[in-house]
Amino acid sequence: MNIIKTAAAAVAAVALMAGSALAQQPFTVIADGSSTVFPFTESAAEAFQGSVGGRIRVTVGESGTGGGFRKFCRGETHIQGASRPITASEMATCRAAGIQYVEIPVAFDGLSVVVHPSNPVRSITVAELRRIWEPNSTINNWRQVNPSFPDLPIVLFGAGTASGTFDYFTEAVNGRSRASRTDYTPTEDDNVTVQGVAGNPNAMGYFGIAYLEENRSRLRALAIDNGNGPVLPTTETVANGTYAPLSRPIFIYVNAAALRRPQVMQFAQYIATNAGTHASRVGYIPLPASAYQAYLQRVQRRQAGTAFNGVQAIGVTIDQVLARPLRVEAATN
Amino acid sequence: MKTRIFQTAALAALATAASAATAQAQHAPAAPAPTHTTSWTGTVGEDRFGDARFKMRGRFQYDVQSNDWDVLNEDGTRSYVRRAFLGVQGRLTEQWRYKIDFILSPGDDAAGQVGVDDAFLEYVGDDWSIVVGEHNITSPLEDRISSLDIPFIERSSVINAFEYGRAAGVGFITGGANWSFSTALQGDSLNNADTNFAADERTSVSGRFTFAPIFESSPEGVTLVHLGLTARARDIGGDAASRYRTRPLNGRGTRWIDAGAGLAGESDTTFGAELALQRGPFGVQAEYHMLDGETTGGVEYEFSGYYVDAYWSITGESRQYRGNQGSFGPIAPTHAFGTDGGLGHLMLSARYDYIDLSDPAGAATRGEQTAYSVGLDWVPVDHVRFKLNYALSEMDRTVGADDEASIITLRSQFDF
Repeated sequence: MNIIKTAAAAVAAVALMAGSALAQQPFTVIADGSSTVFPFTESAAEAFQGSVGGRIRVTVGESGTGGGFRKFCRGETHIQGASRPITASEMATCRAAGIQYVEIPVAFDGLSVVVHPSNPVRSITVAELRRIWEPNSTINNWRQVNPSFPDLPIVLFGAGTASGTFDYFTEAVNGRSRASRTDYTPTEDDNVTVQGVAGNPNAMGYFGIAYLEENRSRLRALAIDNGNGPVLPTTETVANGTYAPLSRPIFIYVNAAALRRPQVMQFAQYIATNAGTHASRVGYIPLPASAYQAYLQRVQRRQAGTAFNGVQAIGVTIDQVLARPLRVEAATN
Repeated sequence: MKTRIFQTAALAALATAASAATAQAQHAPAAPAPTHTTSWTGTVGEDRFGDARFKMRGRFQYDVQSNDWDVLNEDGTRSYVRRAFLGVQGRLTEQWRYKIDFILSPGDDAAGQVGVDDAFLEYVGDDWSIVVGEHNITSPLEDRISSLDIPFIERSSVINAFEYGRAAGVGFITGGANWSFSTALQGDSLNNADTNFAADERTSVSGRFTFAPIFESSPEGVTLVHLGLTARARDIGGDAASRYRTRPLNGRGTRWIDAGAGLAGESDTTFGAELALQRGPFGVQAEYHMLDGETTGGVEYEFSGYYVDAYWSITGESRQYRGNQGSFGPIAPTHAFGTDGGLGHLMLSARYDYIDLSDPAGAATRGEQTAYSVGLDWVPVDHVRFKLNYALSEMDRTVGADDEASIITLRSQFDF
């Protein structure tokens, strides 16, 4: 009997300790996911934390879109930044774990192909990009791509396989998501590509336009020729859709159950209301104001589901996205 | 009749396999060899070669148990290996998957023998799969939860006494985010010795349906209402290895309440209902099962039992629910022990457990058992768990001597 009493006392003591330890922590909104979306979320998080006087904390990780969705669909994060829509298999994983989400396209990105400023190449066609990046590509010199290009070895930096940028770039350029040559330096952290290309006159890399804006002096973006002449990634060309096929929406997914928490709801509303400002601030291209209005309503109503049915959409406009039905389960056709 | 069906099925399968292999050989493209990578799954590396996957798995559970009986002379403290599994899991293609856990039982009665736990081949479609081999996909809730993740050290009396568990055969499971349906046609367990070659082994048809009208998860926890129904019809055929009996919530030792070897079951039918609730750190789980049977001599019997559990996660974590399987997975601590002042996961639990095995009147060991149990669980880091259970069981035999046992068990376990 004594043993039981002692055990009960020990349990009660542990419970009190644990309870008080938990009670002291301020609520933390946990965001993770795409490194493309990271500058946006970080900018929004900083301003938001300032506006609530530090009563709510926001942590922002950058595990890549795929890596982040793995955590999000295990219920470990409130907010997931994604540089591509949720895939069918991620939808299934989330569903089986009881996780619903509100999908908010927060901005447009122009996926930028960059080279060292000393490189004389100014533009490249999508077909040329494909010959460089397609699976089993043997191209290892710029001149092999185009006889007018310099006779320099080609050194490739690209997105890691947990990255949504990898998924989008391979689909837009190689025609099949996740099909890519593998003999390049992969990373989910776009700053690694920035450092790599800035430090190597032979290098080529690709990432979201925000990282280009930050590093204009150290890198040069190539104009992309999709059959209508070379187009540079700029706010105008991404907004009017002429920078194709590398213009894409980027997303925030919010755990719908977590929106019952006032702190998460507050931050999600803040994002939907101020996305345009933060998108512009870090170099992304805002959606029309009416779109943000519609997404704010979806947040407030906790309207769950994706408009993408688990598949990437190349060259889609935000009006088309808004008009689509929301799904939580991928339709097979 | 059964043999004929199997022969026909086997021939058909062989024919299909042969024609498929020929077709494959003719059209096999000269694809480049896929790359080999190793992925970290949290505890072990998983080899990946194209779509193929392979990894090791294992578990070890060691118990120290102290028994205090009123009547039975089985008082004392003992330690034993409750489960030692080593297995592999993988897939040959996206669709064809397999899992085998070998049961190694040092110190058990069947010392020297190796058994199997899950041991099946699975063909996975879009939202369904077919399982062939030793499996329990139609088992009730508590049996569907891994022994690593059940809240108490031993499963409830009714789950054990009604012989829920793995058996060999085929199964089909389908489901969505918050529902599952499974059905199975099974023979005997591969671990049971054939006791009578003159008769067919026992066979069963079973099914389970689960539905979670409320199921939401977020980092703050899971909100869940789980409902489930199970049914099983068995042809036991007088198999002497089939027994309805229960221990006083311990893992080794005498089963005071035992419907008896004299009760040679010819057939039985069970129905069960499940309820589980979760709201953040608080959870409730309960099951009720009833069994109607008939002996080889035509005598009918009726048993029933239930348990009700309540849990409180002191450190706040919810049990993780799998909506498309209607079962619970492991609890990973939010703050692992030893990092940033983390305590790991701590859980308090309480159980009320009842079973009535008193039918039909006759054998001295038949009766009822009512047990109360409380537990404290500590998961310092994911995949390591310590469980301390205290169980008080009152065993009332219909005609024989009643007994009471209080049992303290400490389990230490890890898995990979």
